[in-house]
Amino acid sequence: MSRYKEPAWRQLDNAAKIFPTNSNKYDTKVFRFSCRLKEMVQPRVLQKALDKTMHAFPLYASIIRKGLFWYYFESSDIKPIIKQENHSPCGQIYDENIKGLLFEVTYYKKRINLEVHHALTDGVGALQFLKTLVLNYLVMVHADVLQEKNLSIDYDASLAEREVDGFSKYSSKAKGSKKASIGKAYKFKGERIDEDFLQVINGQVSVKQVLGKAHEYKTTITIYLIALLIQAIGEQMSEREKKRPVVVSVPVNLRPYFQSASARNFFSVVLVPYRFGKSKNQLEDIIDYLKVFFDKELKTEKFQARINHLVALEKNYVTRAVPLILKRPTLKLAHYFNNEEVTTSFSNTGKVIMPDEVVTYIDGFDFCVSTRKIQVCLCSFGDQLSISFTSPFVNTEVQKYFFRALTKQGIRVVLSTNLVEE
Amino acid sequence: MKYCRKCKIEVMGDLKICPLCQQELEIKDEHVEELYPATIEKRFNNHMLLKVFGFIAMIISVLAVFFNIILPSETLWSVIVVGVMGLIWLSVATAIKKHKDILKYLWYQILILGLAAIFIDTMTGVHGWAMTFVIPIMLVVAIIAMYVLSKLLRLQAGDYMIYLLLDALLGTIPFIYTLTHDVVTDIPAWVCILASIISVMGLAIFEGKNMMSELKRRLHV
Repeated sequence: MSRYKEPAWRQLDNAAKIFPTNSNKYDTKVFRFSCRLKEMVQPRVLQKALDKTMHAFPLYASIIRKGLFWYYFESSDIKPIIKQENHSPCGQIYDENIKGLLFEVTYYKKRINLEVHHALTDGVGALQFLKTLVLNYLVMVHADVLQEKNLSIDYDASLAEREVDGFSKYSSKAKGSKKASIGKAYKFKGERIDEDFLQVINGQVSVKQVLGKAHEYKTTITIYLIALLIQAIGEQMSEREKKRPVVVSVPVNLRPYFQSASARNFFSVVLVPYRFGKSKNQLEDIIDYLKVFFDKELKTEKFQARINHLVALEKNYVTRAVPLILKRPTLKLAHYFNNEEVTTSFSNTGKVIMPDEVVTYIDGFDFCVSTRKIQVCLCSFGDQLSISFTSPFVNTEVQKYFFRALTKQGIRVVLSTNLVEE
Repeated sequence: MKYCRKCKIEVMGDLKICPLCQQELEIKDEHVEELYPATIEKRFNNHMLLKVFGFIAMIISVLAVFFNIILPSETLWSVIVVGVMGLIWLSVATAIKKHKDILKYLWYQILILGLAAIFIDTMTGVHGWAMTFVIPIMLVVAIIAMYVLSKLLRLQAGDYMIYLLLDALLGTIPFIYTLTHDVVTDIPAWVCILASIISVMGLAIFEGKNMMSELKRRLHV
């Protein structure tokens, strides 16, 4: 009767499992990577480049379906169509009632945006996709110069390696460890902007300048900026509120720890609690605290124990036998309690490296994520470090204290935002 | 490019006040680059229709309870009104939410209508008409409708098979009911179980491989 190919399907990876149940139009679980070009985007060519990129990332042609026990990915023949950007960043992509792909490519003037639902992949995985897309696009637009050069993104992984579920592959039966409970963290409060509008405040700074400052404190950019963030949050807290710790959730890419090249989710989260307490809370104090903390936490054994625990929980017979309809409230509850322990999140995807031949066409890369709290996302391209704050709140005090702290230290900041004035 | 004296920050785009401290910005140079689209489309509307409908259903329910209490009456007829209003509301909500996936929508409507029939039957003194007539006839219609739709819309096996199987599974309920209860006629239940068996056999013969793989996917633990 029908001559159709049996669709490929795969399970959601361990980290992805929590996302479908907990994404809605207020908290979309979507993040965005953008590439700013130096020229206007040509939609037709972008579409062609996207079609080409899809061949290298077959997982991106998946939709999420509901089984009796679990969600799963099923390959789909839906073709991704590029669109001009027409909504606020990181809008809803996954809706369980609409069969659709889990990512979107949009463009606006000189910018190409890739928005991805977190069930599909994490920041590092998505960045590989965007880099490939941008390279394909630039080679097509500038065929006269670039065609012959046979350029490729340095991503040495077979299709099978890309589709590996890192959590399953690298977890072992050895004893796992639960994340230590920190208790309730300080939470931002205040008036929120219109329900489906996400405010982005982006600051561009020089990598050299920030690195210079970080070196003055004998530390890395990440720790230096997290310390500034904690201080900025502290500035707008009342003394009463300071009884609760400020907890920064820092996603860590697990690929380098386990030599994996997975294009799917493969990250862990380190929760960094900071208690303001009675110390002077000078930048130096916070940096010293963070240095000790990260030295202790960023260890392969720690991550190994953590994923052992998470995977054991997932593969446990009881968990597996519970129907999805009952798993959903459990996952919602777990998500709620996890969230209660987190004040903010700081995500640094690091350097974006493109082949030298195309660097001249690119202005920079930006990275931001949907949130119900205030979150910070970083990525750098050349000497340009892009720091994006996303927030649903009207109040911008944290952002103000953070960027003013940078300028006070003599670092030049160029700000942009999607906020509009009445 | 603009400049905020207070924050000592350069600001791109067409802003008059600083997004951080709300102070007036100085103009540094006239060049204004538009970074984000000015008009933003709302993606998902709030379903005004559903709100209006919910409001009307609420008014009717409240009035029914009110009159049931103040007017002399021996039955709790308002419970039926409230229940039916709730089920109609659920039916409309499903229609709005699930309309993109017609078979899923049909499947939910069958569940809701079946519940409505059983509910009214129970509230009016259990005559058994819901299980004897309404549910089996509805399921037979649904099986035929789903089969025709899957052909007309050229759906992939994964898009319709699970609903046909679920229909067939439900098809056994009226049959079991007629065996264990005293009913006026068991013809509808017989037709229903036959339709269920034929539809499953048809699927097994023509789409056997797809059926197994679909079941494997949907039921993986």
